[in-house]
Amino acid sequence: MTTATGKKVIGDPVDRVDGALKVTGAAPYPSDFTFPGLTHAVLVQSTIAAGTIRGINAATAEATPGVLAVITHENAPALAEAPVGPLGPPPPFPLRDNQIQHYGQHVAVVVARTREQAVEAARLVEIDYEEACPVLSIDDPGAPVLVNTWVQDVDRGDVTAALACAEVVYDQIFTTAAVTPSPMGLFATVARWEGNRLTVHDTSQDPMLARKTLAAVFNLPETDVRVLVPYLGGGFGAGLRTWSHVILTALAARVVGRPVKLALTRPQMFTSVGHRPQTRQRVRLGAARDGRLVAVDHESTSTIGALDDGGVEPVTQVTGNAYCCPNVATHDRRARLHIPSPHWMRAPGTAQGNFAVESALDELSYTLGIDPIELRLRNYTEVHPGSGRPWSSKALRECYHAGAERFGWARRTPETGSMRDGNWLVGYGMAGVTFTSGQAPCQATVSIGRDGTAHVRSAATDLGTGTTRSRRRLRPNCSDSTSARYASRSATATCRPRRTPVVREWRRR
Amino acid sequence: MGPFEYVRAGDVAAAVALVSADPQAQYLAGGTTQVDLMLKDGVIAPERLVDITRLPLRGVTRREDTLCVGMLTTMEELAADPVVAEQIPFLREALLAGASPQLRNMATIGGNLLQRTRCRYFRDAAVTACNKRALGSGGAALRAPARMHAILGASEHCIALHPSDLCVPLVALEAVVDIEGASGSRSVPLTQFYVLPADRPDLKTVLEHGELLTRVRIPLPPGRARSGYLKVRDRASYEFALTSAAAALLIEDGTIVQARLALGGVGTVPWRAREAEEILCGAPAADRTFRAAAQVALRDPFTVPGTAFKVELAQRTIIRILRTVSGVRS
Amino acid sequence: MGEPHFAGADIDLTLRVNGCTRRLQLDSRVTLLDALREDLGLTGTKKGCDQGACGACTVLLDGKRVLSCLVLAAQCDSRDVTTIEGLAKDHELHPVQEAFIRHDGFQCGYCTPGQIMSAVALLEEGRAGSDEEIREFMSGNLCRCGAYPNIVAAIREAAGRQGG
Repeated sequence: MTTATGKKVIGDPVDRVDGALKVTGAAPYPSDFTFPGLTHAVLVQSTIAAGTIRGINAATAEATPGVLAVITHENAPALAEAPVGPLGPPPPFPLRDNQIQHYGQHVAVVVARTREQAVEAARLVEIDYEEACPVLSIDDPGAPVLVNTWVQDVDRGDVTAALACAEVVYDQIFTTAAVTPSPMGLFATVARWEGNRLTVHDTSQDPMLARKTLAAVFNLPETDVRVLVPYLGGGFGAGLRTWSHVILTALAARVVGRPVKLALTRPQMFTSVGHRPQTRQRVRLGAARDGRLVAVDHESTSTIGALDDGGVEPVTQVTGNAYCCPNVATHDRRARLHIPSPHWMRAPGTAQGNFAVESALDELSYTLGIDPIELRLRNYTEVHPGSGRPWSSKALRECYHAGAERFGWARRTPETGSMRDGNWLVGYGMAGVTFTSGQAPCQATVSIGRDGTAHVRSAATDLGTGTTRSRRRLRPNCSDSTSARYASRSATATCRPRRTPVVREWRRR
Repeated sequence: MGPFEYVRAGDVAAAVALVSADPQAQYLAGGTTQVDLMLKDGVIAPERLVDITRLPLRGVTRREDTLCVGMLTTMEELAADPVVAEQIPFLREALLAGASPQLRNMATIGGNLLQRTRCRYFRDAAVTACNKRALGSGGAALRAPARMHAILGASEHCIALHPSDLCVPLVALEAVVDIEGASGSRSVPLTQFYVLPADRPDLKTVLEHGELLTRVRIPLPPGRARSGYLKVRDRASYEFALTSAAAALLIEDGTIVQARLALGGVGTVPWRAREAEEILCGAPAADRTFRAAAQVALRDPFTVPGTAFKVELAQRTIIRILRTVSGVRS
Repeated sequence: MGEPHFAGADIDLTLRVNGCTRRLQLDSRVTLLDALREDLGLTGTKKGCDQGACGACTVLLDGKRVLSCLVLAAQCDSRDVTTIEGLAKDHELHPVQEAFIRHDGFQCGYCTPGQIMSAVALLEEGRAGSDEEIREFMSGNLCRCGAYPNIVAAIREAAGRQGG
């Protein structure tokens, strides 16, 4: 067995393996798949944010040419519970009852021979609502506020006492807006039953979870469910949960006995696949005049949907680890509102939390008359503040210096509005961020054929991050032989491998 | 909506006769408004579409001091016309500031003049309070979040904005539209073509059902006039205006001899700022003149909380474009 | 009156798509985008918004770039349509396609067919004179993965220029 020697693993530019497929339009995304007899599903959505459905009249819709079924909570076959996923409980189950939890909730699915027929019929479904007063504002006193069970509040030292005797105290409220992931690729699901075996092409960032969910909901062994995601048009976290429209597509295919394609519309993408929740945060800093922090208190309220138990959204999670400070308290809360379920969007929780804390430090630097980078350096921590253990590696100081040099930080004048470039006012700022990453067990299967082709199978997805390309760089150097060939097998949740594997597939011509 | 009947017209008279005789029929040109409102938003549902795109109403010709533009000329075609580029620069600027290259290849001049408001409540079939769609049902924008809405020519019944960039220099130039109808031809100055919502927000223009726009005639500005179009918006490109202004000035020895000024992003109809023009004419081309004109142009706005910012922004837009066009402190 | 008259539910159309004549019988409501994707099996053109806001559905219609989601298929009778599938000739990639690969002008690839069709037209229109011009006249094509700098670089290369 040869040992890898010499060559750099990362750093050399290399073209994407799937480049030719993408630039020729040949890469198949979920909505590109079609099957004989394919039918189309369109969702009907709630136009109120809270209340109940008093009645549904689907007669006109059902009589529309081409319509095969109108499925509502009144006639939907009973399904089993969806399982808890790695990032939290499943989204609220579709078509379970007549309760309305948010504007845009899916209340019916129309299936027809063509998409145009399904769209027409969907507009003809009449729903009689009993409207209740929705709780929509994070500041609404009527909104239940819950402890964020996914984050452990930090309580280090004595923040109250430290704030009371700090030389300088900074106290400010920060708000961040709800943000939607809005990938270019409209989320789509194509479901096909063959007897009791289900094949689904889906826009998913976790095909294993989608498979597990569909198997549980339809009471099938997982080996009878395939979830295929060779390509998806971006996710940004939206694909980390198996949303209700996925279940509804498989259900529709079951009901009409034909393959069904359901593609969310762009407006539906804003209410159907999660979003980064808004936050309202309070940051209090206590510091000595030389900038050393003596107290940090970080409160955050984000949001969850009306019947959702939420998932991991750790807004204050990293505050306790970011800087050297003996007294730190964090309070992570969630307000329950009649809104579509928020869920993970790239850098969940920490995007909002870092913004607040780093902005606070920035403003503190002006109060103290200390350069923002210098303030960070004075509070730099070589060890994990909670446990005292040294970091396995930390190059943040070097990053500050490199950034300062490249941006010409030395030319910066701190007074607001003091720098101009023609008609433009120019400002220089900086922030450091902390993000928690995790590891989980994962597997891949490798087999080598007699002809020297290596097959590697895993259930990873490449949503544009280039995992296909980057893994190519990790091939062992026994590949120096030019006759070696590697076959690609894109994300397929049929294999035993779980979670995100390290090794993946590639094709070498 | 169900499948509509699609008809391709052979000539103008046939098209006009077809649509005039059928209240359920509408014209189809580039489709960027029609297809949008019908199939995407579901707020209109004509039973018959008469496709006029192959009628001989396309092309730009100059007749002495007038530019005659066929209504089926696309935005890109008009922007590329050499007379426009040379003699009416602010018309070209306004055209290229609108939409995107793809949309400009599809959208016709006629369609641009007749485009519907972008008011999010008008375009949302689930919103029942829309006086434009259903007179008397109320105006949602007056009681709900509003921003891309009008502050001039607005009323408590409707604040829907006219979103066209092209119409702004056209009303400044006093363009005239030619109309073909079942009972004959007529011409209407563009400044009289649009109907202020007042208490009839369901009306848009003076067109009777079945009347077809065939041509717009644009008087060319004097050769020594300078013009410019400034569009202020949230994004650098491919976005509607928050405010915009088209200005054309003829300046002699530092005095403004002739002035045309029109505003976009603020009016329920393309807004000709005549009172501001009166301030400008005969006055020195200087900041104090521009500021006086800007103040008068935005007198008596009708605002809601979300649109109040437009008053000052529109004034600044006017001052900036006047500075740019006149060369004063630009 | 002599003009063609089509019923709503089954309009007969002849399209020339990528040089091939295709005959279709379609519902009047079908857009060119859906006709390409669902009826002609040409799924390279993508649906990103279906309402004229993103540019992912860009194709060439009689040589001009348009948004196929806002064009009725019925309007395309006897017209020429070029889609992303029609760019490469005899298994050789179009120079714009090659440039996109070389400059990594995409990540997820969903906006890419629309970007490339738009870029091909942009070059034909002679609007790649500077990076600023490229950005302005490509502004009708959104890329959520943020590959814009690389897209501009790819177009710059295809236009045969160096630098900005």
